[in-house]
Amino acid sequence: MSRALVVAAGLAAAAGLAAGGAQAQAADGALVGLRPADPASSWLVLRLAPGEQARHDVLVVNLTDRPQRVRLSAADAVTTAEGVFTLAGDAERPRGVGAWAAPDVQRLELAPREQRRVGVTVREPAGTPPGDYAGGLVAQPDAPAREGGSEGVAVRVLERVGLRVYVTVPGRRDGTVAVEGLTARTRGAGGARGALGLPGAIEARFRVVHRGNVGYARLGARVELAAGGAVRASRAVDLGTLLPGGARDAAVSLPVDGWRPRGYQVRVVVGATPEARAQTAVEVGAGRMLGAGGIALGLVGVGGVGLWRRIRRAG
Amino acid sequence: MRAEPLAALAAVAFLALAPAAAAGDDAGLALQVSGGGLSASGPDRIDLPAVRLSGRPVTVEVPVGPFAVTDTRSDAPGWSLVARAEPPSDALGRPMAAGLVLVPGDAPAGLGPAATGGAAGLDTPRALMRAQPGRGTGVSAVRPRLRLTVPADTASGPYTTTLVVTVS
Repeated sequence: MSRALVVAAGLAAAAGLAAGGAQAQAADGALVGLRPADPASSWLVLRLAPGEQARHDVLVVNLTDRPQRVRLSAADAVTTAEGVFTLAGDAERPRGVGAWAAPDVQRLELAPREQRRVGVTVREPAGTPPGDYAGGLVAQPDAPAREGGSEGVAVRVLERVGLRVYVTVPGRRDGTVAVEGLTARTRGAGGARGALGLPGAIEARFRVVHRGNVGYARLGARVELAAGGAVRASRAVDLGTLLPGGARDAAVSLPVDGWRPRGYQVRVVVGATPEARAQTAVEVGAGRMLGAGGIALGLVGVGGVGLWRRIRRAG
Repeated sequence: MRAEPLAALAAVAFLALAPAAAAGDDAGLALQVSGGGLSASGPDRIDLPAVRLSGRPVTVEVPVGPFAVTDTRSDAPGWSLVARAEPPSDALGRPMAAGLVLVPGDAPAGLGPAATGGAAGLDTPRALMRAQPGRGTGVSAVRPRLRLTVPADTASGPYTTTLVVTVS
């Protein structure tokens, strides 16, 4: 007897994969806009000595034809695993810009199409080390979630609009990054190369760790495969945004050509200031190729001995 | 008698030319365009289809969106649209032992996420779209898919979660 655990009372999806049109979606969403009051600015970019503070105005805009309650907050910057900038969620306690920035009001009710000017104070704590810091203001709807109606899994969508706040604390700037854990391993190939044990590619994996205090909006790296003093293949790697204290994992596949076993060097150069470099060696194994050659030689030898005996008997 | 048609013609000509003459006094056209700066829109709720478990995990996958980003800022500094969601939980707050997975959609040219393009769990932030500086002005939309594999031993009942979508 199959145990019927009904996640929701419905007959919709008894198959392994139920795709398409079964879900319902409400349209429009929050449609809250957020921008600096200064039309020449897109983000708030501040230079503050430790202990200093700055005040700026932002505009919160209701882009809908209905009244809308909006909540304002501040958050630290984070990045996705691929290095895309975003702002931390409510559950993550702010420690940097998210803790320093405070809007004058946290909640406001906007009339249809209204835009409201709100002051924001950024207080740099005394003793803050020099460097680049990032975070932002977040505007999001302050309405209760729509309840009920779903028999399956109901996913409430919460749209947040962030206004980035970049703070630079003057002092010694350090862009040091390090390449850690560089490994390289061969990946098999098909066909004759695979039969001979020759790889089709070498896969390099490494982690870039930011040890300095300069924010990189977009950091790149180059991975090279070299042999015999010549670069055989190279790949550019987009590491995205790398914030101070952040780290990024990368994996690159470099094609291997040629038919003879040899040693390769895998070099990584990260375009930071200063450049970060690392390299490792990988041997393209000759074991299977030598084995195949030995078997071939053995067969030739056995055949030759047999032929020699036959000739001797005949003689 | 002939004076009346001429007078009428002169009056029509005056009326027709007067606005043009007035506009000609100040040929510049002032138009104030005021937008929201950066904003996002999308569905406010997504209902995944109901599933009936019978000893094996069941996977449901639905298209969602479109999620649209509107950027009216003149200097086009770029932006990102990033999603994150906790695993669904039941009425008692007990989380399902599986989370939502984002299957990237076709973003407008040049605005795709930096990811390798594969499906990825939303327990950590995942990019739906991103615009490098100089790109992404106007309206850009993407329509990804959400996937959920419900474990076979999941307790019955309705589940809910929140998909947080942040444009910044």
